[in-house]
Amino acid sequence: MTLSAQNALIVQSDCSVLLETHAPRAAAARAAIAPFAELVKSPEHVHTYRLTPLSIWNARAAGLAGEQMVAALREHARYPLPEHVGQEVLDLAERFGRVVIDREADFLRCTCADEALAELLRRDRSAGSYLAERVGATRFRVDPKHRGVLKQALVAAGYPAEDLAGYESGEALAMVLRDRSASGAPFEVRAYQRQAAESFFASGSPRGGSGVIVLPCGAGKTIVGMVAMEMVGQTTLVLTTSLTSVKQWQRELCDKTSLRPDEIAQYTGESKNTGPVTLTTYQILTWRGHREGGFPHLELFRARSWGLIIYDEVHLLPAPVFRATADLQARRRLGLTATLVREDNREADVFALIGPKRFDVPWKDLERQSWIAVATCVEERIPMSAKRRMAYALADRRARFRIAAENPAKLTRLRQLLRQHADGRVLVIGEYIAQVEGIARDIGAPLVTGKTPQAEREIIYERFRRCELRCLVLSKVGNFAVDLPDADVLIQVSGMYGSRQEEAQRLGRILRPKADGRAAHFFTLVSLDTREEEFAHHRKLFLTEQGYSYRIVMASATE
Amino acid sequence: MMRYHADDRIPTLKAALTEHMNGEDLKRLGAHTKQKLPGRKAEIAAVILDYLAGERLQKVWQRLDTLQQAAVAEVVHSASPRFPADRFRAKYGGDPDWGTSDKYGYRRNPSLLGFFFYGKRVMPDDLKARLEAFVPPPAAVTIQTVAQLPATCELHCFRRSAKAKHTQEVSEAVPLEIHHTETAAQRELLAVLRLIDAGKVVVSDKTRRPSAAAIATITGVLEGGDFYPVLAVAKGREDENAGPIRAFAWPLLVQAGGLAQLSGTRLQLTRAGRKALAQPAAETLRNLWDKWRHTTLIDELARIECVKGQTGKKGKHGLTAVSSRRDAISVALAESPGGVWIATDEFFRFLRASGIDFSVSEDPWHLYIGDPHYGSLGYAHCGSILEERYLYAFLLEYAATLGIIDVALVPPAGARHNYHDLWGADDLVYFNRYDGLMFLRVTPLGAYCLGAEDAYRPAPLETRPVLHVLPNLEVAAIGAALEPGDRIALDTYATRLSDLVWRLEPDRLLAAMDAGRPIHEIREFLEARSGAAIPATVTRLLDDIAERSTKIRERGLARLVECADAALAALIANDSRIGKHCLQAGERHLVVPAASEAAFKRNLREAGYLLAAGETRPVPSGPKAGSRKKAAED
Repeated sequence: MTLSAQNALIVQSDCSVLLETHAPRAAAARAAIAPFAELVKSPEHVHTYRLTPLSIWNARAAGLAGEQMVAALREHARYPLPEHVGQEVLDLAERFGRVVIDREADFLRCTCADEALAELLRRDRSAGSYLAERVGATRFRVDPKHRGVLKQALVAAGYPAEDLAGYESGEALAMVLRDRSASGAPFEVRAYQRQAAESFFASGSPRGGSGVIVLPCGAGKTIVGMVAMEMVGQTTLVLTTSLTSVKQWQRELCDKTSLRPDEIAQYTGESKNTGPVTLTTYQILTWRGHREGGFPHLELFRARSWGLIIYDEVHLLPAPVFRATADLQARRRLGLTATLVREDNREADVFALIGPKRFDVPWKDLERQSWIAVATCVEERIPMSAKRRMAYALADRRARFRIAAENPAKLTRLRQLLRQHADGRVLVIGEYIAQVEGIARDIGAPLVTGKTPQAEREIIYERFRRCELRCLVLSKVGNFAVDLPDADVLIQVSGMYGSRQEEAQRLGRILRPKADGRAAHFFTLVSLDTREEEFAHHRKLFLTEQGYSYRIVMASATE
Repeated sequence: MMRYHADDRIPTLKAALTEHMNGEDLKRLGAHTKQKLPGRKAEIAAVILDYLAGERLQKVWQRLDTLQQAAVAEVVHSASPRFPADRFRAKYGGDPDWGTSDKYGYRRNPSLLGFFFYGKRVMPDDLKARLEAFVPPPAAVTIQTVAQLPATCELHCFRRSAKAKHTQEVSEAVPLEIHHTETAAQRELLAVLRLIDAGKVVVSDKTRRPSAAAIATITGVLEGGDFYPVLAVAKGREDENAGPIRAFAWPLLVQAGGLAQLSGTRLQLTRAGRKALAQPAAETLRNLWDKWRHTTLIDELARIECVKGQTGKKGKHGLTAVSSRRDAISVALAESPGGVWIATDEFFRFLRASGIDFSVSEDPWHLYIGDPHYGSLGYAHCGSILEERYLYAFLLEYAATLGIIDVALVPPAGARHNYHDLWGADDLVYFNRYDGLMFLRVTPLGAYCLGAEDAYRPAPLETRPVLHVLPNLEVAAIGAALEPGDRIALDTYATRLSDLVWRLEPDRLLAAMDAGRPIHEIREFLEARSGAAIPATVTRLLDDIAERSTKIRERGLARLVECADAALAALIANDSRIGKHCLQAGERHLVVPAASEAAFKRNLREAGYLLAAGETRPVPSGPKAGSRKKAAED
């Protein structure tokens, strides 16, 4: 086995790729494989990438050839590339583009690379049903309304289509980004944000116009969305996860673009208006009167001739919206997310219906460039009293988690942490309402839960932004789209610790760079010797794999 | 006339010349004096005596070549007057120049060395005394060590080609497999004792050897399996599997060491064996080594199955005491430098050259291969093959199993060829299963067991940065190639995720600890192989595991006793005499520790109860005893 010690990559037979970050050629290797390998984890010393069909097709969609991918692997591999891995990359890469969807008058045309493939797809139970009249040995007509479902079926069949059918134009929207925000602060789009938007837009060609931008929380995905809106210059529908997020988009659009407030409409539970730019939530779109009923608000997709649809937090896209999106393939679609990981493993649907990944940048890279705050993660293990330990021991398995989560000793430690971070802007997040209510009462901080009226939430958030409040207690409503840029300490007292999304989102609350450059602190309080530790184990793996420093301390050592 | 001396001693030079030499030989020896020799034997002897008289002896000695001087020195500075031919050959690699003779040993033309040795190459006592004054002591025996083990060994063997229908010699470079036994032995000892405690080791009540099932069970707990894994035999090929070695040895070792004894056909732990479960394994291994040296449970020669006649009356009587053989090897191991590799052939040479030699049989004519007559091992050309193979058997099966020596092995088939010219050896794929033992190295545990060191100081783990221990609990082997031992250790501690990545997981670590790997050893391994401090998350995980592993302790076996009702159980549990020998478990059950069983039974009898086998008869839940009595009275 030949050894090129300077090289940073080790390609394993299971198609995973290890990158030794200290190797002399590590940076070059990272740049070479990033377009076609999916970064799975990036702990210190060794990063793990995986070559998957989606990662390779994403790269093909970006114009990279299979031979270039294999050449990059060979150039940077420390040991000879396993032959079957190289072959698999070539095979997968070769599959992309063997089916092309383009436009022919009022119909779409699906062209296969050869007759054998055309026959194969025609006989495919799923894809075959969307291929209409055969207009040649290798060509089929396709009903435009089947464009999305056909693409889904082709991905499932292993032959992702290159969609060159282009987009319908929406109504024009005159919108530019300001040099100086409405609040008077200078505003400049960061280079990576503009690069992300450009890679999505692709100069307006049919090869661009749909896809996903992956940026960590706090990196300014909203800004990327606004740049994309400026580039497209057409009416835009923005789908977000919550009303708070709608408010945040509205605030940002008014602050940083030339849009007037009356040009921005909200389609929410409160008001159902549409405008050149319409902001809505997944919840309202997927609302229905009864279980078997339809989704009346999905009509919003057809309410106007949208030139662009933005899916915020695309990893949370609910199934009905996927279905609706399948019918909207003639619109430009932009997905924004911090992670492509979906707990329901529907990454392939995101690829087929929203589009391929167009841009991503590792969290740690932005941290190094100070675009997001440096964060330290600390897990504190709090012992339970003997009485509570006995109650825990005698409880059934489901009840145990709650007993551990609501350990009263956490409150003592919480008070200590609040004293230690007396100058910090602190968010306390918990899973159980009774627990967060108790904490809010004890420390005298306002509480925001799902029951808190939206108006009241906005007032509380605004007071926090204006530094009138130093500490805020949140139930799990705080997981998503709470725009509190100055928060720098987050203490989670309980949670669904097994969820990787929740960890990323909660951490994201404090990752906005601070004006004074101070670091962010992410504390998790878990009860010692309980199931919380097991859940914390998953969180630990996730955060360390993202490259964050993670410490575990025993409560006694901290006192 | 020649006289036979019981001790081969020759008191004087004059006696040697006159009584141990004939006239013809005297003349040929006297020719070296360059003097005109008289005709009579006594006169020639007088000339030679005169030639060697006084300081002239030293001048004659100076005329000897280096090897001849060494031959003189070996005898002058030893207790015996006789020239040690075999030892000399082993030490110097050849014989000194004795002169010439015809093929039958006659017409001798002695060299100058003939002035110093007579008869059966014996040095006269007076001559020896005179030589002591100026002959320097011989060089000490040295043992050649190997600085760097070769990666492979070239093996030659004969394979029958089914296609060509003939046998042809093939050679291939076979990787040398290194087995680090020191820590493995300590873990394996505990694992085997636990198996015995669980009643899973069946042995023959006659030979005390483990059954095939017991060997399979024990192989399952050996680190990386036995020395040689069992390989499927390809069609048309001979079975070249070596068979069990460590799995065979362990049951015998613990029996010989008094840690286990036969109970029916199963082994059970003795009191010493139970104690060994809780004490440092190094101490137990030392005791096992000491006791093995004197055991008569088995003669290692019996494991060399191709040597027949061992159980026959004559063959058996001819065998030397097995303890003397083991002692000789043990002394040679103790004198060998520790921590360095030694070729097995070199160790055998050292054993012979240093005079701590042994022989397997006083009468090897009754041991044979294939046929008792043609295949006898008493023929001169058989040389020391018995001793050599006995040495390998003892070293690999017992010394290596006990962690005394590390070993480097190749498969036995084709490893050695010095038996091919023996009658009846044509059909053997190897002489015995130990033929593949190519190198050995005395471990620190070995030095302690052999008495070369006063205390056991485990060898520090070699720092070799071949791993990256990552904060997400993964271990990536992206440095130089991993050694098999490192791979086995990683497979034991962690779950393999891909070719080069493992993940440390709590259940895997607990299983490793349960198999006898203490957490500090795991930590040391990770530090030594990563060449850096391990990340805090990994440290925390190991600390957690270490802490949890001490929270629940095994306190030995106990018997579960069921009482007829809750009241009786409470009565016994609270009895001042019986209660201290049992614990109440639930309403009707008592737990009696095995150590307290006899006292519990005795006190129970004294209290008027008996511990019966089978199910208890519960008290009927109808009318109470008092009301039944009243009803009877009515």
